[in-house]
Amino acid sequence: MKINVEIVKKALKHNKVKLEDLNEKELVKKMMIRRRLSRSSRILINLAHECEFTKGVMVYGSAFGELIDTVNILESINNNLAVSPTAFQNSVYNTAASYHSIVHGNQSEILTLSCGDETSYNVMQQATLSLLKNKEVFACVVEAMNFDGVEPLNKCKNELEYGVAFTLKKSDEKATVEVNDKEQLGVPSSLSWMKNLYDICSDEEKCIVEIEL
Amino acid sequence: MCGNTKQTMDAIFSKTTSLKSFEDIVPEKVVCVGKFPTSLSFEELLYESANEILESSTLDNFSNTLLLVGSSVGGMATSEKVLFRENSYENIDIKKHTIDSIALALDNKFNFLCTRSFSTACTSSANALKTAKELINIGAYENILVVGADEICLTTIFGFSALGILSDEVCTPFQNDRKGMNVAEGIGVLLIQNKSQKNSIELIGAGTSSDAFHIANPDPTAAGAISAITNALEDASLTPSKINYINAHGTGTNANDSTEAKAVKDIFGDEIHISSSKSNIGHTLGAAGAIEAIICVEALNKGLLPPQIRCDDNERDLNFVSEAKELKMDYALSNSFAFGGNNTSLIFGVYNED
Repeated sequence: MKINVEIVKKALKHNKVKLEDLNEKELVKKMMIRRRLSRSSRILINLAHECEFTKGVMVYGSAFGELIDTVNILESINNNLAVSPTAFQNSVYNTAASYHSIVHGNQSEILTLSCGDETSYNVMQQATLSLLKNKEVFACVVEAMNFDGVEPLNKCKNELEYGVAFTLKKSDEKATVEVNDKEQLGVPSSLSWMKNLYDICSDEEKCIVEIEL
Repeated sequence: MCGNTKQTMDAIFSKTTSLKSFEDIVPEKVVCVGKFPTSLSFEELLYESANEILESSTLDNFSNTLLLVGSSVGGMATSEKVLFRENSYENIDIKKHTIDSIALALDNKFNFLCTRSFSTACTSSANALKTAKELINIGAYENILVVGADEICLTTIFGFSALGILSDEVCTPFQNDRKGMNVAEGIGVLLIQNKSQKNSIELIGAGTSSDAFHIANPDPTAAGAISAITNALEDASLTPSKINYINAHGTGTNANDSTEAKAVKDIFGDEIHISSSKSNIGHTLGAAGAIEAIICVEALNKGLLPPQIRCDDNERDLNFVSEAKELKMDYALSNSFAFGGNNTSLIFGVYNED
């Protein structure tokens, strides 16, 4: 089953090492929440702000989840140190999407997918399914991999912080773009499909893509 | 679980547990957890479970079947073994670490039409089931295999221990003197199809919500839980009085159980039959939604209410099932609640040809 989807808003953030311009103080007023945010949460909250998304259905994706907090826990266990409760609370894959819901009081459905290299296309499929019942859906994929010891695992030399997001709505019009599933240097494979879509959608013309459920 | 579906249901109906206390996992603490009583690897158990479903189905293979997986930790146990043995991340196989490592393993073995993996902590496979229902309802797929799977690992045991919510003995959900939860491993597999078979049970309602309250604690007003249950009832076009049995999320922690008890009492009153299976099989995290869906399906099929191991001093005086009891049931509800305030409720019903 194929559905056409219009990109209403789009946002992209990436850095080889660490994103510095995430504007957390402005976007997350409560200091106690801001202090506890994971890296992925900070990136997602910024992307959502750029897409003007605060409330509604969100489909979030990440192939690797909260790597920094996960490594923190593993290092504690391996070195016979106490595990940080905050690191554990922040280690689940839906952490970033949940913090966004807490910041904005969003009580709608939030789903988190983790589908390896296919994560971003699956996020688009899941978001499209949600569009059959909802007017707009926010779709976002983030990878935050900047932890001590990542080098030997980063064989593809991906940038360590990367996020892409769209606000989507269902369209009855013809598709205007077709996404090429090519890999891009430095872009984690998990979000390459959405990154490619981001690249071909101009700000001037309607961007409508066909998604097979 | 405690073995295959029959063995697990026998254990639940006879109020026995697969949970055991260990002194040698967390330093200076006794923790009670659930481990598979088998020498088979987690991957072998996954294959065995999927194959059991295939052989009992009308399908020849899974080539026309979508695979939806729900898991909280994916291949974390495998990565831990490498890290703790070698003290280095270098030889960790990323493909065996991620959440979708489960889908990849199953896909390599059975060759599915395509796969998708959900990771919303303890609602992961409940959310996979909700998606399966939606995709079947719109005719996008004919067959969807939903797998909830989580292997026990030190990250979750030490993590829950750090939060101070692990019990040193078998958990006692909803009891006023409850001491906490038991982490466990589990695999639950359900085939969702667009055509009914003999003894089919339908997934007729699914509802979700977000607490928007706290990253790990549920909203004590129970607004999120109430919303998920209400959304499921609305989706199924049922009033609360039509539900015969609730398989509670019921983890045994103070915060979860008091919130869920409030939600249940507010919506259903205090007569609804309710039990938690966590004292039999523990909290299987991302697998719990699928496993507890199977418990609802079996209860409906057998017309037998699943009891709870201990329920003599209950939170809010709810009507807990103390012994397995025959009851003609039409509908059962299963709750799943997760970190981040992620809530999912599912309603199962006996197939009615009308």
